[in-house]
Amino acid sequence: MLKALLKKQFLELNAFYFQNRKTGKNRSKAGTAGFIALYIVLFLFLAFTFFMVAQSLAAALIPLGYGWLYFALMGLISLAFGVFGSVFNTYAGLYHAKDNELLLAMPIPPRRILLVRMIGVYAMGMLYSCLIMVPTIVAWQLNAPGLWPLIAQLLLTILLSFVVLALTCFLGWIVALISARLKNKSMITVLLTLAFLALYYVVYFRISAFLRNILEHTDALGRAMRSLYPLYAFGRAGEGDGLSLLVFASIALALLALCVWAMARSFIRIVTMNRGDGAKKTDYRAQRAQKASGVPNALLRREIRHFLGSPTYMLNCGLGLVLMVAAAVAALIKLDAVRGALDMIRENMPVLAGAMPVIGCALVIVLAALNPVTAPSVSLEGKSVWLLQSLPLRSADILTAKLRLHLYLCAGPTVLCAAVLAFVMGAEFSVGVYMVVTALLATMLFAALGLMLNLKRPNLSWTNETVPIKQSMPVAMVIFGGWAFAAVVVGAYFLLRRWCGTQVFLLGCIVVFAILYRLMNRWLMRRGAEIFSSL
Amino acid sequence: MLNISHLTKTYGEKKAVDDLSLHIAPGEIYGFIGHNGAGKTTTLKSVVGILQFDSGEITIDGCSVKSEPLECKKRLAYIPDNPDLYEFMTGIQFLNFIADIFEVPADVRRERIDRYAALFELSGDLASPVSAYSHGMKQKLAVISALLHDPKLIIMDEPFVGLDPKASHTLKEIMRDICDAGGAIFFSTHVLEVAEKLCDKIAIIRGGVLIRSGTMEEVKGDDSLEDVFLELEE
Repeated sequence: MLKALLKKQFLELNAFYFQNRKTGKNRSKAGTAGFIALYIVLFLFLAFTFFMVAQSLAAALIPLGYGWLYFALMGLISLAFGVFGSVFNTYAGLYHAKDNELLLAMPIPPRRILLVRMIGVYAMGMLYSCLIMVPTIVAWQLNAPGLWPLIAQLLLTILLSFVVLALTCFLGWIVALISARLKNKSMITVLLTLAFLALYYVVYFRISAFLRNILEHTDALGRAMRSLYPLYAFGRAGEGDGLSLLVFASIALALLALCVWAMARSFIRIVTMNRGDGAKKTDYRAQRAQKASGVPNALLRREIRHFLGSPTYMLNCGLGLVLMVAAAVAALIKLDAVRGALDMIRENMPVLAGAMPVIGCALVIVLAALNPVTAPSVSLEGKSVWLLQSLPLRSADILTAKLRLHLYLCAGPTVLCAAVLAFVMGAEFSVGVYMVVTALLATMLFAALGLMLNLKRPNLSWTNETVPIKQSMPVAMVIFGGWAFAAVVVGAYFLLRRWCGTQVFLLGCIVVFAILYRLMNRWLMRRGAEIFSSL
Repeated sequence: MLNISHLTKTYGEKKAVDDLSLHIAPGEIYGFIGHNGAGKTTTLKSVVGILQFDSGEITIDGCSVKSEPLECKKRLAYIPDNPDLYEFMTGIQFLNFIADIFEVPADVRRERIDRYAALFELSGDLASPVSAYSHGMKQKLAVISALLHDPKLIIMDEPFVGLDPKASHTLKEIMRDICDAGGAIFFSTHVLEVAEKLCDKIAIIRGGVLIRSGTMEEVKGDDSLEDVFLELEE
């Protein structure tokens, strides 16, 4: 039975990545290979970035005999990244699949359904954790090679992924328990998840600060070890200590078992709970919805409702909005500290002084890439795509509404974040304006890119909306590709700064981005519209 | 009103519809029957413009579905066999969205929504999210949305599936009223008794090929429609 469920899950995944859903035929080998290659390149790019961090820590800590601390620090980062990568699809992935009724009507123990769905969450967490753990192990082996530590480190990576799974499932479970009793689920689910995540990261940063403190005051080591023993065990296991590995394995497996047990007990109750949507009937006339509006606004309103109606969509494709506003507010609150740090950088690293506006702009672009609103928007039409196709609508108008949603959501926070950064770094007014326009145009590029990719790789037959949102190539490519794009912008500046100043460079970016957007928009309105019509 | 001429549609090697021609005049309720996989839904989707066909021509009120799809869609309404509606909207939000697309004035849409929602006993549920609707309620909502812009032609795929007896009766009355007012209806069904009582004309399709069409009397003669259908299927 478990095998059959796993096979179903695998077939769904296989069909999503390797089959054309309309013809049922496998995608062309070249196309599939190209996308896989792109994924690998993105993975390597990010892994290399983390390797640089790992290498600098390993080179400093391992010779001093603090190898355990190196592993503990990197393990914490990996845990944070793994949770970040999988937490937003846990709630919907475990509890809100469209095949709930089908599976629950069959003689399948609910815990098996839960276990199979947890594999999806596990895979996502594992992928994100590995982005840190693989470079961590490589850096260790470069500084202190050894076979037994290598085996222990690989086992540790697997064990750590269990902890990531337990933590994300626990968060998803709490959100499910609370939201099952709520009426306005979407927004409250989003707020709850963000609150839990904020709490998690407060704890995470406290532990990180605690570890840094240990590093500075080694006399406190003994005390710290006692109070943070699981972390110490993790670090020692990374060094190759068998007993510590055993202890950490016991902790990780016990944590996972406890989590599975608690979730299995309540799974059937949560997924079969009355949604409470229509408990009290209200008069539809009171909703004041019968106000006429034009076609473009009707389409835009439909997109907004879709976005606000799905916690998974909001959390996975709108997190950057929250981060951009939070970054702007934090920069203003800590104005003196940030300016002091910037002055220090200018004094000690004059090479970076001129690059500040470009780096600031790149930071905003990194955050803007966390909002791939358009990237799953075509797939999310799902089985109701017939509606738009049967109505007297131009496909170009439908795609424009999707672009508008992205831009309306992202424009405000992008402008705010870029403007605040320009102000904080004391940029000239004209440079500030260039920063804002560059960041805004990058946002527009991401909107167009997401839509283009989704039109090329649509998935309309999903059973769980996390599939087009979280396990989606277009979404991953906008996020990771956006980060790579930001790095390219900074790299291009350092390459070209001999010939042009900051202002000219930003102005050049504006021109290039605008041309690129125009070309992409033209493709969308012509070829993209044709593709949408024939979905 | 609707003219289908030599329609052919293939899926890979398989011909789903093969050289099908039909003409539906204003005032006619035209039934479309055939076994599962005979090509009914493919034909209906081709008419509505949500499926590209290989060859042939389809015109609605003189407009070609291929070259003037928007003009055609303005004149028709489509109700699929399994209405997957927007679950992120409430019933009234969905109806309002459809009315916006067809540019139905506010006072007209208000009157029609009130009227049809009362007829189908859905008024009390329009404020609820579509995700909370039963299959029958979704079907009712799809029917109401199809009637909002007063279409000349209604294409329906198994419209009575999921409807309660009263709603089925209401829908049949509305279908007749539309045709009496000069509209036309083309619908598929497996319920042969309904087709026999309701339709002015009938078409039978098998393996993508139209095997018989015409007025009810021409198709069935003195036999029952069920007998004729079973005989033709053998």
